[in-house]
Amino acid sequence: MLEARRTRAVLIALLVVAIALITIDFRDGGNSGAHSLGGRIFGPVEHLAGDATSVFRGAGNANEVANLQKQNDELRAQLAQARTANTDAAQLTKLLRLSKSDGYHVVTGTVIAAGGDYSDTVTINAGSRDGITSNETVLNGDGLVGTVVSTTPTTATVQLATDANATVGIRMAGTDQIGSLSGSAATLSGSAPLKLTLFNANAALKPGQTLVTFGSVGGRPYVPGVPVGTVSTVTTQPGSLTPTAVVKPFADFTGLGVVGVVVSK
Amino acid sequence: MRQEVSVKRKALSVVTLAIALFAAVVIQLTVVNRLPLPGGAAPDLVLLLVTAIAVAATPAVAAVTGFAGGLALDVAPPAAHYAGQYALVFCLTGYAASRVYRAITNTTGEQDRVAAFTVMVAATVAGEAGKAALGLLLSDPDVTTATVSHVLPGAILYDLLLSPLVFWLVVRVTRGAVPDRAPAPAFDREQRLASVFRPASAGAAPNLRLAGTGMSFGPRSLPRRAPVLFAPRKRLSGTGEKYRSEPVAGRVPKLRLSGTSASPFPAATATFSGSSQFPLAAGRTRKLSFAGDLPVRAGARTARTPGKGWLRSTATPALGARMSPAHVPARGWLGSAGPSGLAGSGAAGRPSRLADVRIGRRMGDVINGHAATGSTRRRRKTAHPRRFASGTLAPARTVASQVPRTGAEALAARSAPSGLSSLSGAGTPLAGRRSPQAGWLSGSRGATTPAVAKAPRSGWLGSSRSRPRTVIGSVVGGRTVIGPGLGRAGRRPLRRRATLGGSWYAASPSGAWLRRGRHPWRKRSYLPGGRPPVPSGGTRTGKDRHFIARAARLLQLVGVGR
Repeated sequence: MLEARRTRAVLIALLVVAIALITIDFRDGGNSGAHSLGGRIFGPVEHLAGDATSVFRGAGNANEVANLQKQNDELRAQLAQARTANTDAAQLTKLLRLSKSDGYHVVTGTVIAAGGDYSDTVTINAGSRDGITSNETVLNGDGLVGTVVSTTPTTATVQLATDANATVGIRMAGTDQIGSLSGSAATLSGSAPLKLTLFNANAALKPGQTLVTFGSVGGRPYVPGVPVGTVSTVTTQPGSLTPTAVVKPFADFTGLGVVGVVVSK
Repeated sequence: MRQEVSVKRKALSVVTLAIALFAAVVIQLTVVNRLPLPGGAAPDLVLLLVTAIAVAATPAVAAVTGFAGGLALDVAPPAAHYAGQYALVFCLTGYAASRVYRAITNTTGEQDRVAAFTVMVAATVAGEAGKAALGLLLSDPDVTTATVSHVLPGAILYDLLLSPLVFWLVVRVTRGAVPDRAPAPAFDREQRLASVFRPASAGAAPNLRLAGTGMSFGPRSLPRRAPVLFAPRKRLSGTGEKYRSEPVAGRVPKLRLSGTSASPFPAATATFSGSSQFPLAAGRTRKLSFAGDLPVRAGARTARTPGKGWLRSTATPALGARMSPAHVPARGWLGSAGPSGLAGSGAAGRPSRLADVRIGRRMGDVINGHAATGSTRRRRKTAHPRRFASGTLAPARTVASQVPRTGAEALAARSAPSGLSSLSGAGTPLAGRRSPQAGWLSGSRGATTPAVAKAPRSGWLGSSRSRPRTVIGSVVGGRTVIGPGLGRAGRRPLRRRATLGGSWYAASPSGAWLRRGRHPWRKRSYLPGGRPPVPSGGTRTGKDRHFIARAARLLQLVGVGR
């Protein structure tokens, strides 16, 4: 009896704590202290584990690969910037207050951990020590990956563009039509597509069109001009106000390795 | 046999599992989640580990484990859901798994790997569903019905595939650290049967005893219920083994043991003590040594350490001879004898073999008793008195002789030590095990009333699976089956004891007896319920039996006996 009562007391206490945590985190929008504490504890461990697993992945020349990747990312970012500048630089610059003097600086990191079945988040082995802060664009050699949502000194958590919470402003490469791209859950290891919605009801949507990021104020959370993907299927319903389409991303979210974080200096 | 759990071993497994849980979290995040598995899902190592630990641990430990594992998943970096979500789900899952498995073991009385694994798998499935459900409840954008229907089946499938491995690993780690928990709180099948047969066997005993003394109280006069009443019988049987098994049901007999070292007393004294002790063994026990030959103080002293006393006297067959003096008092109350003891008087009797045969037969009855029906009992009732009438003393005689000669004696002698251990009087209960049995034993030793409340339910059954066996063995020698029924039957005597302030178990004369001054065997009216005794077998009525069985089952189901 005594034991049963004690057990019940323990159980109730734990449940209360759990519910309290959920409540607090809910109030803080998922950024309560619990997460940062957990990051402090598990970040270094995952860092180590990531290093360990990279050995098995045969990253003997990981450094070289990382350097090349970094160069590539930087060039790509510059190219995107240049392209953006060339199209309608003045207008956009004024609009977005992009300071052209600031070049993009890319910090590279390797994916060391991934979220569970229901979340499309990954952790990379670069953190606030490397200058990464929240709401910075993450891309890889293929295109847009996502944005940084939280950091620890040694790690950063990246919300992928495919996450259901993610919405990316995009621009059609050819037509300059703007729209938004939202993820659908559980695409990390699956192939659930991104959903595109254009704001202009009369915009023409054709499969094969390329999308680039529209950009945000100050380049956060997305810098402009990063290639995102191509339209694979137009799903506009008759009578709907906005054209919609399914987009196939350039980046392979199931096999993320080295990624770059665009750090604004 | 329950293996004592060494602290070292336990600590080792706790540490190992804690590390394993931490490692599982890290591996889950850094490796498993990144595997490009088909189906878009991945197994949940942490959930598997939590459920596997749950079926091997107590509910409290399982709840804590689940909470810790879930919280780790909640706050470790890539987590995107609300902190506390998985902690809540895993905590509940672990607790429920442990609880359910415990209920199963309580019902079956055994550790069952298959059942454990089944519970673990079911809990894992429930945990996966719980994760999804809580996500939906909190309207996590990532968790939609479409997502769940897409992910959940795959996740469950991968969990199932991985569960045997995790289960096996946990079993490996916890082997030896987790007691073979068959602390079936309640009653084994054998024990339930024993409860049915106890009355029957009890009925036979008086015959055996009385025949030798020339007193012919048939089984008729057998008091039907109070285990107290059994005590004298048991003592007389000469094997001494019964004592050991008896304590399971209630208090440790204080007086009996005292007799071993004492020299025989004058017949008159013996007689007096004997008569007084018959009844409910209430409070007076200490003064009235059963042996009847011991100084009061000696009796009291031994009373405190019954286990040791028993051990000394009965541990080896050779010691049987020494024990016999203990029974002298019994003789005394029988009124037969002088200092010389029963052995002398009994020697004259009919061939001891007859008695032996009988005993052997009875043993067979009891052992095979699972199937025994009322008819068999009835048969025994009739047959038994007749056969025993002449040779009652045989057992006593053999006991008196230094070496056990008959199979029954040998059996009794052999079973004696085990009986002791089962009693836990040998010291295991005293060792402070957490088993319920030990608890109530110690409690009852203190003669506190709370002990009374605990006794019947918690488990004299004890934790070891072997106990039932021992109990039955004791039946053979002493002819008394101590079963779950005993615990149950012991309630009333216990209550009485509470009022009288003595130990019913000691089987010493109760205050009531003294007051009424009647011979115990004739006395039926004082028995609770006042039903007329059944002539020979002293069996319970069917109603009674059913009630006992149902009560036992209820207790199990409720998990009370745990």
